[in-house]
Amino acid sequence: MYYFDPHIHMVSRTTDDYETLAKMGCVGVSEPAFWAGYDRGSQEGFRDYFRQLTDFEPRRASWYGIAHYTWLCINAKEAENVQLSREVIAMIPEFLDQPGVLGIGEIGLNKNTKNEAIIFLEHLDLAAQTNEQILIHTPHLEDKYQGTRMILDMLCDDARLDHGRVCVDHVEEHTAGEVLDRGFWAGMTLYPVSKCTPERAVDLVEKFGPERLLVNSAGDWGPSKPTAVPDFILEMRLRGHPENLIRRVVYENPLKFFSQSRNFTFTPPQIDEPWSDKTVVV
Amino acid sequence: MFDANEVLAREQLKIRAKLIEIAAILDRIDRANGEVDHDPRMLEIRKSLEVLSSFKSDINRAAEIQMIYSRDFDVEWKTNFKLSES
Repeated sequence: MYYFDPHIHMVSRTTDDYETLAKMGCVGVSEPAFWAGYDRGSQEGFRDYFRQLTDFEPRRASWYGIAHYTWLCINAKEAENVQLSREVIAMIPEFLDQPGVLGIGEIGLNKNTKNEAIIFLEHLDLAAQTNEQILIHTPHLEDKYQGTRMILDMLCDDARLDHGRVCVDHVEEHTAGEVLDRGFWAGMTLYPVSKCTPERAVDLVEKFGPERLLVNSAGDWGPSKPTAVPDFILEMRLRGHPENLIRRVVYENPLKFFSQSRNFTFTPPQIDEPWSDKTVVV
Repeated sequence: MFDANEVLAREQLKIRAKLIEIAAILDRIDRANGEVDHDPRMLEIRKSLEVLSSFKSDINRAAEIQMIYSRDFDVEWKTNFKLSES
């Protein structure tokens, strides 16, 4: 089955991973800007990172027939440096018309601090002013519920934002309902220890239905599995869910969400079956 | 979709393995030197086990356990942060 991974950090992965994803049926990835494992020291450091996201990664993905899209921001972990964050936010518009740039992301909160909230709001303002879509990171573990509620408060306070063009990512059992109830897209991230397992993600599809739900691996430089979306597909099949429901979650939903971005273009793979109208001689 | 009997049949070995794993970890803590009975993390574990042992049909166990491991949400957070002054 063809699928998208709507949240994966390919700058942290090898070219062999692109090949494996292609063999698994992946036809497109979207890569939000994130924390590199260390705090970057300057605006120019981010400029180089954004060039990697908008130039080299799409080329590397194309070697295996995978479409590559990206989201730009300074992440919540580095938002404690408010001055640098403002310099990076001021630079982002230079890249917003590049092919494959879907919007602002992954912005959000990490430890739910005042500085993180300030920079989150300034990113929202940039997105509203430039009419960009938004991809949002929600915090980890014990900070997730509190941070998700704060993020929803800030999103709902801004009347300029179209909830149907915002994805709140890394939802789990205690946060998915409120995100969906308020009209946002919800991303389920499949991680080996924290966040969701493939089995729990299928539980959430069974509980909430497929409307505005996305599933991703968030594969990065830490313990993570870039082929986690196929694990989800297999679990859906093993539970007897029909192929059209699986396809909706892993292929049609990302297409529908991404299609709201002005820089999104995609040529669907040929999916008709050339052998189906031929006589098979046994 | 599977019925409840089929789900149980499919998941029984997984549940058994995970319960034994939790039991073994708790035994390991007991065998070790020191005392953690009053550690807040043990309280979270006990509360979670109470949720697991509930047989009410309308309970959402996963979400309830998630909330045991979540910080409280302060509805006044925007006022406390004085965001309007930033």
